[in-house]
Amino acid sequence: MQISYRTGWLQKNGCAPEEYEDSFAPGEISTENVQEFRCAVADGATETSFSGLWAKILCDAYVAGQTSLEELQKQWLEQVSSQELPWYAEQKLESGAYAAFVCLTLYQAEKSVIWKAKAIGDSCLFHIRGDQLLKSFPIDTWQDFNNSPLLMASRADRNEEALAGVKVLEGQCEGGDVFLLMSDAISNWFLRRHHEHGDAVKLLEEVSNQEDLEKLCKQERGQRDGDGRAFMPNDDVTLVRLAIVSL
Amino acid sequence: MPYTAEISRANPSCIVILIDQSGSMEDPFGQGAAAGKRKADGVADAVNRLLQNLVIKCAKSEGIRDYYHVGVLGYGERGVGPAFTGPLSGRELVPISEIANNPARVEQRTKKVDDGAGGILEQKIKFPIWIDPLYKGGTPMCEALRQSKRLVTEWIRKHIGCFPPIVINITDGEATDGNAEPVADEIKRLSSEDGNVLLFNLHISSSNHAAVEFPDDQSLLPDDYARLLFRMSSQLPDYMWSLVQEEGIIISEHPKGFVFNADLVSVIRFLSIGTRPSNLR
Repeated sequence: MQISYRTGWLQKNGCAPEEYEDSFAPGEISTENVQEFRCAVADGATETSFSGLWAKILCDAYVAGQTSLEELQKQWLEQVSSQELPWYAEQKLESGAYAAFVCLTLYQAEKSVIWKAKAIGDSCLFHIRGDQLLKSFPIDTWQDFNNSPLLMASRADRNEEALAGVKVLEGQCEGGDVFLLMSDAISNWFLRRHHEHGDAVKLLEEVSNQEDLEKLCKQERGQRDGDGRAFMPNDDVTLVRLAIVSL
Repeated sequence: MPYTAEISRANPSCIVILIDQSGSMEDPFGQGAAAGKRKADGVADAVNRLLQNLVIKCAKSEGIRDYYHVGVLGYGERGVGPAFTGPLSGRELVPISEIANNPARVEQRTKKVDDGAGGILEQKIKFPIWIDPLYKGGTPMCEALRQSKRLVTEWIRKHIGCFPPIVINITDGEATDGNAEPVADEIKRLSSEDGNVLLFNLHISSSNHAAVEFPDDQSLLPDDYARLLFRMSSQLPDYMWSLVQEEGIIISEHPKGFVFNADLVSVIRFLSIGTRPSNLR
Protein backbone atom coordinates (compact mmCIF):
# COMPACT_ATOMS: atom_id res chain seq x y z
CA MET A 1 0.00 0.00 0.00
CA GLN A 2 1.03 3.57 -0.41
CA ILE A 3 0.63 5.91 2.54
CA SER A 4 1.13 9.53 3.36
CA TYR A 5 2.19 10.48 6.89
CA ARG A 6 2.58 13.78 8.67
CA THR A 7 2.78 15.00 12.24
CA GLY A 8 2.49 18.19 14.22
CA TRP A 9 2.79 19.14 17.88
CA LEU A 10 2.55 22.13 20.14
CA GLN A 11 3.32 22.57 23.79
CA LYS A 12 0.80 23.92 26.26
CA ASN A 13 0.48 27.68 26.20
CA GLY A 14 2.75 29.16 28.90
CA CYS A 15 5.23 26.26 28.71
CA ALA A 16 8.55 26.01 26.89
CA PRO A 17 8.82 23.61 23.92
CA GLU A 18 11.10 21.33 25.98
CA GLU A 19 8.26 20.97 28.48
CA TYR A 20 6.05 19.25 25.89
CA GLU A 21 5.14 15.88 27.44
CA ASP A 22 3.23 14.16 24.65
CA SER A 23 5.09 11.94 22.27
CA PHE A 24 4.53 10.28 18.91
CA ALA A 25 6.29 7.82 16.65
CA PRO A 26 7.55 7.56 14.03
CA GLY A 27 8.85 11.10 13.70
CA GLU A 28 8.98 10.71 9.93
CA ILE A 29 8.93 7.89 7.40
CA SER A 30 11.56 6.80 4.94
CA THR A 31 9.26 5.21 2.37
CA GLU A 32 5.64 5.63 1.44
CA ASN A 33 5.26 2.11 0.08
CA VAL A 34 4.78 -0.31 2.96
CA GLN A 35 3.42 -3.77 3.70
CA GLU A 36 2.80 -2.95 7.33
CA PHE A 37 2.82 0.32 9.22
CA ARG A 38 2.73 1.23 12.89
CA CYS A 39 2.29 4.58 14.59
CA ALA A 40 1.44 5.78 18.11
CA VAL A 41 0.66 8.82 20.22
CA ALA A 42 1.10 9.07 23.98
CA ASP A 43 0.35 11.83 26.42
CA GLY A 44 2.42 12.00 29.61
CA ALA A 45 0.30 13.03 32.61
CA THR A 46 1.19 16.51 33.77
CA GLU A 47 0.78 15.67 37.46
CA THR A 48 3.55 13.08 37.30
CA SER A 49 7.21 13.70 36.57
CA PHE A 50 9.32 12.22 33.79
CA SER A 51 6.03 11.41 32.08
CA GLY A 52 7.23 12.84 28.75
CA LEU A 53 10.03 10.29 28.82
CA TRP A 54 7.53 7.52 29.60
CA ALA A 55 5.32 8.63 26.70
CA LYS A 56 8.32 8.55 24.36
CA ILE A 57 9.40 5.09 25.53
CA LEU A 58 5.88 3.73 24.91
CA CYS A 59 5.61 5.18 21.40
CA ASP A 60 9.11 4.23 20.26
CA ALA A 61 8.74 0.70 21.58
CA TYR A 62 5.41 0.15 19.88
CA VAL A 63 6.70 1.26 16.52
CA ALA A 64 9.82 -0.89 16.97
CA GLY A 65 7.67 -3.91 17.80
CA GLN A 66 8.87 -4.23 21.41
CA THR A 67 5.97 -5.51 23.45
CA SER A 68 7.35 -6.31 26.89
CA LEU A 69 5.89 -3.68 29.20
CA GLU A 70 8.19 -4.91 31.93
CA GLU A 71 11.23 -4.07 29.80
CA LEU A 72 9.89 -0.58 29.10
CA GLN A 73 9.25 0.05 32.78
CA LYS A 74 12.81 -1.02 33.52
CA GLN A 75 14.11 1.28 30.81
CA TRP A 76 12.20 4.24 32.29
CA LEU A 77 13.47 3.54 35.80
CA GLU A 78 17.07 3.19 34.64
CA GLN A 79 16.96 6.49 32.81
CA VAL A 80 15.40 8.47 35.65
CA SER A 81 17.56 6.87 38.35
CA SER A 82 20.81 7.67 36.60
CA GLN A 83 20.91 11.16 38.09
CA GLU A 84 21.03 12.47 41.65
CA LEU A 85 17.70 14.03 42.55
CA PRO A 86 16.48 16.39 45.30
CA TRP A 87 14.15 14.95 47.97
CA TYR A 88 10.93 15.98 46.22
CA ALA A 89 11.92 14.54 42.85
CA GLU A 90 12.88 11.29 44.57
CA GLN A 91 9.51 11.09 46.34
CA LYS A 92 7.61 11.99 43.19
CA LEU A 93 9.37 9.20 41.31
CA GLU A 94 7.93 6.69 43.76
CA SER A 95 4.50 7.16 42.24
CA GLY A 96 5.91 6.61 38.75
CA ALA A 97 4.97 8.26 35.48
CA TYR A 98 1.66 7.86 33.68
CA ALA A 99 0.61 8.27 30.08
CA ALA A 100 -2.40 7.88 27.83
CA PHE A 101 -1.58 5.84 24.76
CA VAL A 102 -3.17 5.10 21.42
CA CYS A 103 -1.57 3.06 18.64
CA LEU A 104 -2.43 1.85 15.18
CA THR A 105 -1.15 -0.94 12.95
CA LEU A 106 -2.06 -1.27 9.29
CA TYR A 107 -1.24 -4.48 7.48
CA GLN A 108 -1.83 -5.94 4.08
CA ALA A 109 -4.19 -8.92 4.17
CA GLU A 110 -5.01 -11.08 1.18
CA LYS A 111 -7.44 -8.74 -0.54
CA SER A 112 -7.57 -5.74 1.75
CA VAL A 113 -5.76 -3.65 4.31
CA ILE A 114 -6.69 -4.23 7.94
CA TRP A 115 -6.28 -1.70 10.73
CA LYS A 116 -5.95 -2.53 14.41
CA ALA A 117 -5.93 0.01 17.20
CA LYS A 118 -5.37 -0.16 20.94
CA ALA A 119 -5.93 2.59 23.46
CA ILE A 120 -5.66 3.32 27.13
CA GLY A 121 -6.79 6.68 28.48
CA ASP A 122 -7.92 9.65 26.48
CA SER A 123 -5.59 9.89 23.49
CA CYS A 124 -7.80 9.10 20.51
CA LEU A 125 -7.94 7.65 17.03
CA PHE A 126 -10.37 8.86 14.38
CA HIS A 127 -11.09 6.95 11.18
CA ILE A 128 -12.23 9.20 8.36
CA ARG A 129 -13.56 8.35 4.92
CA GLY A 130 -14.18 11.30 2.61
CA ASP A 131 -15.70 13.92 4.88
CA GLN A 132 -17.30 11.33 7.16
CA LEU A 133 -16.09 10.43 10.64
CA LEU A 134 -16.51 6.63 10.69
CA LYS A 135 -14.99 5.78 14.08
CA SER A 136 -14.01 7.65 17.17
CA PHE A 137 -11.93 5.54 19.53
CA PRO A 138 -11.84 5.04 22.51
CA ILE A 139 -13.92 8.16 23.35
CA ASP A 140 -17.10 9.01 21.43
CA THR A 141 -18.22 12.34 22.85
CA TRP A 142 -16.36 15.39 24.07
CA GLN A 143 -18.26 15.38 27.37
CA ASP A 144 -16.53 12.10 28.26
CA PHE A 145 -13.13 13.76 28.68
CA ASN A 146 -12.22 14.40 32.30
CA ASN A 147 -9.19 15.13 34.44
CA SER A 148 -8.68 11.64 35.77
CA PRO A 149 -8.49 9.08 32.96
CA LEU A 150 -7.06 5.61 33.47
CA LEU A 151 -3.45 5.72 32.27
CA MET A 152 -0.54 3.39 31.62
CA ALA A 153 1.90 3.52 34.54
CA SER A 154 5.65 3.07 34.62
CA ARG A 155 5.23 1.00 37.78
CA ALA A 156 4.05 -2.55 37.31
CA ASP A 157 2.11 -2.58 40.58
CA ARG A 158 -0.02 0.39 39.46
CA ASN A 159 -1.05 -1.13 36.15
CA GLU A 160 -3.49 -3.89 36.93
CA GLU A 161 -6.55 -1.72 36.34
CA ALA A 162 -5.03 0.02 33.31
CA LEU A 163 -4.12 -3.22 31.58
CA ALA A 164 -7.62 -4.52 32.15
CA GLY A 165 -8.91 -1.29 30.63
CA VAL A 166 -7.00 -1.45 27.34
CA LYS A 167 -9.48 -1.15 24.48
CA VAL A 168 -9.03 -2.75 21.10
CA LEU A 169 -10.74 -2.04 17.79
CA GLU A 170 -10.14 -3.15 14.23
CA GLY A 171 -11.58 -2.79 10.77
CA GLN A 172 -10.87 -2.65 7.05
CA CYS A 173 -9.46 0.27 5.10
CA GLU A 174 -10.27 1.64 1.72
CA GLY A 175 -8.01 3.70 -0.47
CA GLY A 176 -8.28 7.35 0.53
CA ASP A 177 -9.07 6.61 4.19
CA VAL A 178 -7.47 8.85 6.77
CA PHE A 179 -6.54 8.08 10.39
CA LEU A 180 -5.91 10.81 12.91
CA LEU A 181 -4.18 10.00 16.21
CA MET A 182 -4.34 12.83 18.69
CA SER A 183 -3.79 13.63 22.35
CA ASP A 184 -6.74 14.62 24.53
CA ALA A 185 -7.04 18.41 24.18
CA ILE A 186 -7.27 18.41 20.39
CA SER A 187 -9.39 15.22 20.42
CA ASN A 188 -11.78 16.93 22.80
CA TRP A 189 -11.94 20.00 20.55
CA PHE A 190 -12.37 17.80 17.45
CA LEU A 191 -15.33 15.86 18.85
CA ARG A 192 -17.02 18.96 20.18
CA ARG A 193 -16.55 20.84 16.92
CA HIS A 194 -17.81 17.82 14.98
CA HIS A 195 -20.89 17.59 17.20
CA GLU A 196 -21.69 21.31 17.26
CA HIS A 197 -20.67 22.47 13.77
CA GLY A 198 -20.02 19.34 11.72
CA ASP A 199 -16.90 20.83 10.13
CA ALA A 200 -14.12 19.37 12.33
CA VAL A 201 -12.94 16.93 9.66
CA LYS A 202 -12.70 19.72 7.11
CA LEU A 203 -10.86 22.02 9.50
CA LEU A 204 -8.24 19.38 10.36
CA GLU A 205 -7.80 18.40 6.73
CA GLU A 206 -6.85 22.00 6.11
CA VAL A 207 -4.01 21.67 8.61
CA SER A 208 -1.16 20.77 6.31
CA ASN A 209 1.85 21.91 8.31
CA GLN A 210 3.09 22.98 11.73
CA GLU A 211 2.20 26.60 11.14
CA ASP A 212 -1.44 25.71 10.37
CA LEU A 213 -1.63 23.63 13.54
CA GLU A 214 -0.26 26.44 15.68
CA LYS A 215 -2.73 28.88 14.16
CA LEU A 216 -5.67 26.56 14.80
CA CYS A 217 -4.64 25.87 18.41
CA LYS A 218 -4.07 29.53 19.17
CA GLN A 219 -7.50 30.42 17.87
CA GLU A 220 -9.41 27.59 19.57
CA ARG A 221 -7.60 27.93 22.90
CA GLY A 222 -8.59 31.58 22.94
CA GLN A 223 -12.31 31.09 22.26
CA ARG A 224 -14.58 30.43 25.20
CA ASP A 225 -18.06 29.02 25.56
CA GLY A 226 -20.85 30.37 27.75
CA ASP A 227 -19.38 28.61 30.80
CA GLY A 228 -15.99 30.25 30.27
CA ARG A 229 -14.37 27.03 29.03
CA ALA A 230 -11.90 27.22 26.15
CA PHE A 231 -13.08 25.25 23.08
CA MET A 232 -9.63 23.65 23.03
CA PRO A 233 -8.31 23.06 26.57
CA ASN A 234 -4.86 24.50 27.16
CA ASP A 235 -2.69 21.39 27.06
CA ASP A 236 0.01 19.84 24.89
CA VAL A 237 -1.27 19.01 21.42
CA THR A 238 -0.20 16.19 19.14
CA LEU A 239 -1.62 15.41 15.72
CA VAL A 240 -0.57 12.41 13.65
CA ARG A 241 -2.25 12.04 10.25
CA LEU A 242 -1.96 8.86 8.25
CA ALA A 243 -3.64 8.59 4.86
CA ILE A 244 -3.95 5.48 2.69
CA VAL A 245 -3.15 6.84 -0.73
CA SER A 246 -3.78 3.48 -2.44
CA LEU A 247 -4.20 -0.11 -1.31
CA MET B 1 -18.20 30.05 36.10
CA PRO B 2 -16.14 30.62 39.30
CA TYR B 3 -13.22 28.46 40.43
CA THR B 4 -12.24 27.44 36.90
CA ALA B 5 -9.13 29.62 36.44
CA GLU B 6 -6.16 27.61 35.31
CA ILE B 7 -3.36 27.55 37.87
CA SER B 8 -0.08 28.02 36.04
CA ARG B 9 3.30 29.64 36.53
CA ALA B 10 1.98 32.68 34.70
CA ASN B 11 -1.16 32.71 36.83
CA PRO B 12 -0.28 31.20 40.21
CA SER B 13 -2.55 31.03 43.24
CA CYS B 14 -1.86 31.44 46.94
CA ILE B 15 -2.58 29.57 50.14
CA VAL B 16 -2.31 31.06 53.62
CA ILE B 17 -2.30 28.69 56.59
CA LEU B 18 -3.01 30.03 60.07
CA ILE B 19 -1.88 27.89 62.99
CA ASP B 20 -3.10 28.31 66.53
CA GLN B 21 0.04 28.15 68.73
CA SER B 22 -1.65 29.04 72.01
CA GLY B 23 -1.05 27.27 75.32
CA SER B 24 -3.96 24.87 74.94
CA MET B 25 -2.30 23.29 71.89
CA GLU B 26 -0.10 21.41 74.37
CA ASP B 27 -3.10 19.26 75.30
CA PRO B 28 -3.62 15.92 73.58
CA PHE B 29 -6.13 15.14 70.84
CA GLY B 30 -9.21 13.52 72.25
CA GLN B 31 -10.35 11.42 69.34
CA GLY B 32 -9.21 9.18 66.52
CA ALA B 33 -5.86 7.69 65.58
CA ALA B 34 -3.97 10.64 67.06
CA ALA B 35 -5.61 10.41 70.49
CA GLY B 36 -3.03 11.18 73.15
CA LYS B 37 -0.70 13.04 70.77
CA ARG B 38 -0.09 16.71 71.54
CA LYS B 39 -2.29 18.88 69.31
CA ALA B 40 0.64 21.17 68.50
CA ASP B 41 2.73 18.18 67.32
CA GLY B 42 -0.13 16.81 65.27
CA VAL B 43 -0.82 20.12 63.58
CA ALA B 44 2.89 20.77 62.84
CA ASP B 45 3.10 17.29 61.26
CA ALA B 46 -0.03 17.95 59.24
CA VAL B 47 1.19 21.31 57.95
CA ASN B 48 4.63 19.89 57.12
CA ARG B 49 2.94 17.07 55.26
CA LEU B 50 0.68 19.50 53.43
CA LEU B 51 3.71 21.52 52.30
CA GLN B 52 5.48 18.31 51.30
CA ASN B 53 2.48 17.15 49.25
CA LEU B 54 2.11 20.52 47.62
CA VAL B 55 5.81 20.57 46.68
CA ILE B 56 5.56 17.08 45.20
CA LYS B 57 2.45 18.06 43.27
CA CYS B 58 4.35 20.99 41.72
CA ALA B 59 7.52 18.94 41.04
CA LYS B 60 8.31 18.19 37.42
CA SER B 61 11.26 16.57 35.73
CA GLU B 62 13.08 19.89 35.45
CA GLY B 63 12.35 21.12 39.02
CA ILE B 64 9.48 22.81 40.81
CA ARG B 65 6.87 24.87 38.98
CA ASP B 66 5.63 27.86 40.98
CA TYR B 67 1.92 27.13 40.78
CA TYR B 68 1.45 28.36 44.36
CA HIS B 69 2.84 30.85 46.81
CA VAL B 70 2.29 29.77 50.40
CA GLY B 71 2.33 31.59 53.72
CA VAL B 72 2.15 30.04 57.18
CA LEU B 73 1.32 32.37 60.08
CA GLY B 74 1.34 31.28 63.70
CA TYR B 75 -0.68 32.95 66.45
CA GLY B 76 0.02 32.64 70.16
CA GLU B 77 2.21 34.14 72.85
CA ARG B 78 4.26 36.24 70.43
CA GLY B 79 1.22 37.64 68.65
CA VAL B 80 0.94 36.84 64.95
CA GLY B 81 3.87 36.20 62.62
CA PRO B 82 5.41 33.95 60.00
CA ALA B 83 5.74 30.41 61.34
CA PHE B 84 8.45 29.07 59.05
CA THR B 85 11.57 27.92 60.82
CA GLY B 86 15.00 27.58 59.20
CA PRO B 87 16.07 29.53 56.10
CA LEU B 88 12.54 30.82 55.42
CA SER B 89 12.17 32.22 58.92
CA GLY B 90 10.42 35.61 58.87
CA ARG B 91 9.07 35.20 55.32
CA GLU B 92 5.36 35.65 54.60
CA LEU B 93 4.28 34.44 51.13
CA VAL B 94 6.94 32.18 49.62
CA PRO B 95 6.95 30.60 46.12
CA ILE B 96 6.57 26.82 46.39
CA SER B 97 9.97 26.26 44.70
CA GLU B 98 11.71 28.15 47.50
CA ILE B 99 9.77 26.14 50.06
CA ALA B 100 10.88 22.95 48.30
CA ASN B 101 14.52 23.88 48.40
CA ASN B 102 14.63 25.38 51.90
CA PRO B 103 13.24 23.10 54.60
CA ALA B 104 14.74 23.74 58.05
CA ARG B 105 15.87 20.11 58.06
CA VAL B 106 14.96 16.74 56.58
CA GLU B 107 14.15 14.07 59.18
CA GLN B 108 14.11 10.32 58.66
CA ARG B 109 10.78 8.83 59.65
CA THR B 110 9.27 5.42 59.20
CA LYS B 111 6.03 4.58 57.56
CA LYS B 112 4.19 1.32 57.55
CA VAL B 113 3.61 -0.15 54.11
CA ASP B 114 1.95 -3.28 52.85
CA ASP B 115 4.60 -5.88 51.96
CA GLY B 116 2.30 -7.41 49.34
CA ALA B 117 2.16 -10.73 51.22
CA GLY B 118 -0.27 -9.86 53.97
CA GLY B 119 2.33 -8.30 56.25
CA ILE B 120 3.46 -4.79 57.12
CA LEU B 121 6.92 -3.42 56.43
CA GLU B 122 8.49 -0.37 57.99
CA GLN B 123 9.92 1.87 55.33
CA LYS B 124 12.25 4.81 55.99
CA ILE B 125 11.12 8.06 54.40
CA LYS B 126 12.50 11.57 54.23
CA PHE B 127 10.28 14.03 56.08
CA PRO B 128 11.13 17.71 55.49
CA ILE B 129 10.38 20.12 58.32
CA TRP B 130 9.40 23.76 57.83
CA ILE B 131 7.22 24.21 60.93
CA ASP B 132 8.02 23.29 64.54
CA PRO B 133 5.31 22.83 67.18
CA LEU B 134 4.75 25.81 69.50
CA TYR B 135 2.18 26.21 72.29
CA LYS B 136 2.10 29.16 74.65
CA GLY B 137 -0.02 32.19 75.47
CA GLY B 138 -3.39 33.39 74.19
CA THR B 139 -5.21 32.98 70.90
CA PRO B 140 -5.07 36.19 68.81
CA MET B 141 -7.13 34.65 66.01
CA CYS B 142 -8.75 37.95 64.94
CA GLU B 143 -5.33 39.48 64.34
CA ALA B 144 -4.20 36.34 62.46
CA LEU B 145 -7.25 36.60 60.20
CA ARG B 146 -6.56 40.31 59.65
CA GLN B 147 -2.95 39.50 58.67
CA SER B 148 -4.14 36.84 56.25
CA LYS B 149 -6.60 39.34 54.80
CA ARG B 150 -3.73 41.76 54.22
CA LEU B 151 -1.66 39.08 52.44
CA VAL B 152 -4.55 37.91 50.31
CA THR B 153 -5.62 41.46 49.41
CA GLU B 154 -2.09 42.27 48.22
CA TRP B 155 -1.94 39.00 46.31
CA ILE B 156 -5.22 39.63 44.49
CA ARG B 157 -4.17 43.18 43.61
CA LYS B 158 -1.21 41.69 41.72
CA HIS B 159 -3.00 38.58 40.39
CA ILE B 160 -6.58 39.61 39.66
CA GLY B 161 -7.23 36.66 37.31
CA CYS B 162 -5.94 34.00 39.73
CA PHE B 163 -7.70 30.97 41.08
CA PRO B 164 -9.05 32.42 44.36
CA PRO B 165 -6.64 32.25 47.31
CA ILE B 166 -7.41 29.80 50.10
CA VAL B 167 -7.03 30.62 53.79
CA ILE B 168 -6.92 27.63 56.13
CA ASN B 169 -7.27 28.29 59.84
CA ILE B 170 -6.33 25.50 62.24
CA THR B 171 -7.37 26.08 65.84
CA ASP B 172 -8.61 24.35 68.95
CA GLY B 173 -10.86 27.05 70.22
CA GLU B 174 -11.88 30.56 70.83
CA ALA B 175 -10.17 33.83 69.93
CA THR B 176 -8.90 35.81 72.94
CA ASP B 177 -8.79 39.09 71.01
CA GLY B 178 -12.42 39.58 70.05
CA ASN B 179 -15.08 38.20 67.76
CA ALA B 180 -13.48 36.59 64.71
CA GLU B 181 -16.67 36.38 62.66
CA PRO B 182 -16.69 39.92 61.17
CA VAL B 183 -13.10 39.67 59.91
CA ALA B 184 -13.83 36.19 58.53
CA ASP B 185 -16.73 37.72 56.59
CA GLU B 186 -14.41 40.41 55.24
CA ILE B 187 -12.00 37.73 53.99
CA LYS B 188 -14.80 35.76 52.29
CA ARG B 189 -15.97 38.92 50.52
CA LEU B 190 -12.57 39.38 48.85
CA SER B 191 -12.49 38.04 45.33
CA SER B 192 -10.40 37.62 42.22
CA GLU B 193 -12.07 37.58 38.82
CA ASP B 194 -12.46 33.82 39.29
CA GLY B 195 -14.42 33.88 42.53
CA ASN B 196 -14.37 34.65 46.23
CA VAL B 197 -11.52 33.85 48.58
CA LEU B 198 -12.12 30.57 50.40
CA LEU B 199 -11.80 30.42 54.18
CA PHE B 200 -11.70 26.96 55.72
CA ASN B 201 -11.53 26.09 59.39
CA LEU B 202 -10.20 23.00 61.06
CA HIS B 203 -11.35 22.76 64.63
CA ILE B 204 -9.27 20.28 66.57
CA SER B 205 -10.36 19.35 70.01
CA SER B 206 -9.45 17.46 73.13
CA SER B 207 -13.07 16.44 73.56
CA ASN B 208 -14.31 13.00 72.65
CA HIS B 209 -17.13 14.24 70.47
CA ALA B 210 -17.30 12.33 67.20
CA ALA B 211 -15.62 13.83 64.15
CA VAL B 212 -17.77 15.97 61.88
CA GLU B 213 -16.60 16.53 58.32
CA PHE B 214 -17.97 19.12 55.91
CA PRO B 215 -21.32 19.63 57.65
CA ASP B 216 -24.14 21.76 56.28
CA ASP B 217 -25.91 22.18 59.60
CA GLN B 218 -24.40 23.74 62.71
CA SER B 219 -26.83 21.97 65.01
CA LEU B 220 -24.63 18.86 64.66
CA LEU B 221 -21.78 20.63 66.43
CA PRO B 222 -21.17 20.33 70.16
CA ASP B 223 -20.30 23.84 71.30
CA ASP B 224 -20.44 27.55 70.49
CA TYR B 225 -16.79 27.69 69.35
CA ALA B 226 -17.36 25.00 66.78
CA ARG B 227 -20.57 26.68 65.62
CA LEU B 228 -18.75 30.00 65.28
CA LEU B 229 -15.97 28.41 63.17
CA PHE B 230 -18.64 26.67 61.09
CA ARG B 231 -20.31 30.00 60.34
CA MET B 232 -16.94 31.56 59.54
CA SER B 233 -16.21 28.90 56.87
CA SER B 234 -16.87 29.21 53.14
CA GLN B 235 -19.21 26.83 51.42
CA LEU B 236 -17.24 24.25 49.44
CA PRO B 237 -17.18 25.20 45.75
CA ASP B 238 -18.57 22.62 43.35
CA TYR B 239 -15.19 21.38 42.14
CA MET B 240 -14.08 20.64 45.72
CA TRP B 241 -17.41 19.05 46.47
CA SER B 242 -16.70 16.60 43.65
CA LEU B 243 -13.22 15.88 45.01
CA VAL B 244 -14.56 15.22 48.48
CA GLN B 245 -17.10 12.84 46.96
CA GLU B 246 -14.32 11.09 45.04
CA GLU B 247 -12.51 10.58 48.35
CA GLY B 248 -15.51 8.52 49.38
CA ILE B 249 -16.78 11.00 51.98
CA ILE B 250 -20.54 11.23 52.02
CA ILE B 251 -21.54 14.85 52.24
CA SER B 252 -24.60 16.96 51.73
CA GLU B 253 -25.09 19.21 48.74
CA HIS B 254 -24.06 22.47 50.39
CA PRO B 255 -21.34 21.62 52.90
CA LYS B 256 -19.04 24.10 54.58
CA GLY B 257 -15.26 23.92 54.41
CA PHE B 258 -15.15 22.95 58.07
CA VAL B 259 -13.94 19.92 59.97
CA PHE B 260 -14.56 19.37 63.66
CA ASN B 261 -12.47 17.14 65.88
CA ALA B 262 -10.82 15.68 62.85
CA ASP B 263 -8.15 13.10 63.38
CA LEU B 264 -4.85 13.70 61.62
CA VAL B 265 -5.80 11.73 58.55
CA SER B 266 -8.87 13.89 58.08
CA VAL B 267 -6.81 17.02 58.54
CA ILE B 268 -4.33 16.00 55.87
CA ARG B 269 -7.02 14.84 53.49
CA PHE B 270 -8.93 18.06 53.92
CA LEU B 271 -5.87 20.19 53.26
CA SER B 272 -4.96 18.13 50.23
CA ILE B 273 -8.41 18.57 48.79
CA GLY B 274 -8.15 22.29 49.10
CA THR B 275 -4.95 22.26 47.11
CA ARG B 276 -5.91 19.88 44.35
CA PRO B 277 -8.07 21.71 41.85
CA SER B 278 -9.02 19.42 39.02
CA ASN B 279 -7.61 21.93 36.52
CA LEU B 280 -4.14 21.93 38.04
CA ARG B 281 -1.64 21.38 35.20
